[in-house]
Amino acid sequence: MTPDEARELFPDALDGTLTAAQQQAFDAALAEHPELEAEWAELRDLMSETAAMADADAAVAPSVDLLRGVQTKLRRRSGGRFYRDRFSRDVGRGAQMWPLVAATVMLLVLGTAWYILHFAQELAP
Amino acid sequence: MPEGYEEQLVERLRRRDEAAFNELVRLYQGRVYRVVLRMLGDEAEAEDLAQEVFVTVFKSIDQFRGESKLSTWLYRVAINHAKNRLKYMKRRARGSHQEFDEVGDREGIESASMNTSHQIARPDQTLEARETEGIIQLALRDLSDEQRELVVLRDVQQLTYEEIQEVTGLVPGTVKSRLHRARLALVEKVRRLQHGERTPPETE
Repeated sequence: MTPDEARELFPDALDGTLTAAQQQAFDAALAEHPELEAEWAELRDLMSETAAMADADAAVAPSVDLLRGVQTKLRRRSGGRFYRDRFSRDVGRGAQMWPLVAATVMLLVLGTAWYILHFAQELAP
Repeated sequence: MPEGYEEQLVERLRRRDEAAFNELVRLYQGRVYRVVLRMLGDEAEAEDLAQEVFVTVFKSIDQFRGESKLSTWLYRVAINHAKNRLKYMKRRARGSHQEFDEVGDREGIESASMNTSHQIARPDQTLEARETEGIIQLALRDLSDEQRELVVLRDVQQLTYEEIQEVTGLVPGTVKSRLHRARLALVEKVRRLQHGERTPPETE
């Protein structure tokens, strides 16, 4: 087996899918060509380091639970159609009018008070 | 996962069942986060992007036809988002690229390994292992997006060739040959980094 033929087998050798005959020829080529053996060792070592990284990766997690952020984004982008917050759910759409009603009542009270005071001054002797 | 669970979950997701969607996020947030973290190399960006992936899934679940596993489809959405974010980040960074390179040259490999170990806290590992991981992460960042995608999916996320084919849309033979080229490019980048050289990132 030539070095180039052996190089073509690198992916299968990494996957461990060489046949017994291929493995034997591959090993013989490595033994015969030190530069090929060095190339193979470099690739194999890097892949085993990457695999170790992969094992450790299983423990890597986001620093926060992503669900809350996802819910917030969905609520905002759907205009409140999805993931309405508890306040909105509890009070319902009609109750969301309360600030407007309160402001209107406040204006009426102030207006009436001003009117009474104004005319009270005019009618005073 | 019990048999039929995924089909039921997808059915509930199609009805925009919020409880089902919560389940989906809790079930897959780790996997989605890890794949985008390896693609982007930045924890804060990865958290934000992982959230965007789930928002897209919520909006686009009707496009999932059930021809692949739900997790594979999630990976595809995540990889597409990551590639778009990388393009955006490159455009944004282009103006300050010179400054970035100078800092990189000055601080060398040490900064790279510290940077990565800061992003992915790993107190149980030895310093040497962290440095190696830092170098690999930096080398990954210097691969083209397509090469990084293949290495991350196969060697870090350990997907099968069939799953990678479904995520990338490449045919199996192409996956294997391109992955091999990506690995050789990674070897080259790692070798250069170990000798204190930085190479410009691969262009698309």
